[in-house]
Amino acid sequence: MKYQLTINDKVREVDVDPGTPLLWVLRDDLQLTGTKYSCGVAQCGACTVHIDGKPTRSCVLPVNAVRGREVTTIEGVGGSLAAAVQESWDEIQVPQCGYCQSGQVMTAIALLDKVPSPSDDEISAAMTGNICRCATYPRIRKAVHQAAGKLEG
Amino acid sequence: MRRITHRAPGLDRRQILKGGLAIGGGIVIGLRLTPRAVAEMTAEGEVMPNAFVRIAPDGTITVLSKHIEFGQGTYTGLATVLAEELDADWSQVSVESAPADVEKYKNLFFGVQGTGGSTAMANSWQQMRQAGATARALLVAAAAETWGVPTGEITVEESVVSHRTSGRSATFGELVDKAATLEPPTEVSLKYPSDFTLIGRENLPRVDVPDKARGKAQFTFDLDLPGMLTALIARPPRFGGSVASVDAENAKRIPGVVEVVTIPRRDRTRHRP
Repeated sequence: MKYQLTINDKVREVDVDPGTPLLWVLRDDLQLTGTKYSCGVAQCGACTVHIDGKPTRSCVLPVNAVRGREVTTIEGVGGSLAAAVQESWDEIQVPQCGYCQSGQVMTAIALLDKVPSPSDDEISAAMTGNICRCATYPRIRKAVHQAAGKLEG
Repeated sequence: MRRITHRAPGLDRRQILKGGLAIGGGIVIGLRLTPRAVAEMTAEGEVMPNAFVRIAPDGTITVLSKHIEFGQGTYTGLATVLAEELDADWSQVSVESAPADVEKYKNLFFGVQGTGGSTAMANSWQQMRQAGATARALLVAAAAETWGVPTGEITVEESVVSHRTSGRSATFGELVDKAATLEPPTEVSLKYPSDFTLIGRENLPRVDVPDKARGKAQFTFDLDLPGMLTALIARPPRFGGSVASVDAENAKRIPGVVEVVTIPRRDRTRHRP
């Protein structure tokens, strides 16, 4: 079935089965491979994208469900908020293997969009669904605080 | 020794490792080189003094890593070692993965191209130092020839080659064209550890981090090659199970499915006739 999807502010046409998870449309049909597959059952957060600005697990979301909605992937984030997060990620040297980090960054951006200066508890609550096998959690927390500071200043 | 038969033109037995022999403030190390008259030039106009480094006319230094970067810091580590001996400006150094080529890029401990067992730095340490030092010597030779001065009077600091007494200097990038016409040196001096400026420096940022924060780092899973097929394994629903029979008809009817292959049963208990 043909779909016109709004992805990273562009209309993209794909011809896929209605039940195809958004993740595979992004990765296989649109070659947007920054979004990662990991658990496949919405438990790890590696596949996090924004749907109308909200962090969402793309691995279990049928493409049919995102018609008429704005999809943003790690390739499409921009502006001062994303820059603050990604520069803080660089400065704190957050990633190790890096596989989960697209999802981490997407969740962090969505958090700071809603809560400009989050407390430790608010960071924990927002980031808890993004698992990192390298256990970069303390650096993620530090980088989120740092990004918040940049946005204030 | 076998390597003598592969020696570069004009080389003698001095190419054989001379560990510990101090000459001119450094340690002279012999190099094995593939026979070729001059340094390699790439299609992009970069000079490639050896298999591990390319230098572009704009001064960009690309280090080729024979080991994969999966968070252990190999790209940064290997580039640091090469850049140290090259006296490179670290801000101009970038790293890319070496291509498949066992002869050039084998893990010296394994004999095959492979990363694991904490061997990346240990097996590459001397190799990357030599690669950096050879590249440096080639650029020094290019400057010496251009200026008509002895190589021994030339100094290198942060990608700038200088001849103090005449006040002349040139960046690595400016020397690329000349360097590409010269024969890479066969013997190079390595630094004493007390002269290291990059190795051991605290807080040298990891080169793989920015791409990982932007979804640009490429993992094996992200590769898309022309005509590439995806293979999936259907595993038995019970531990220790094996295939009784396979009816692949329905699977083969799914658009895009090319073939269904049954993995032969591995009998662990009996020898086959």
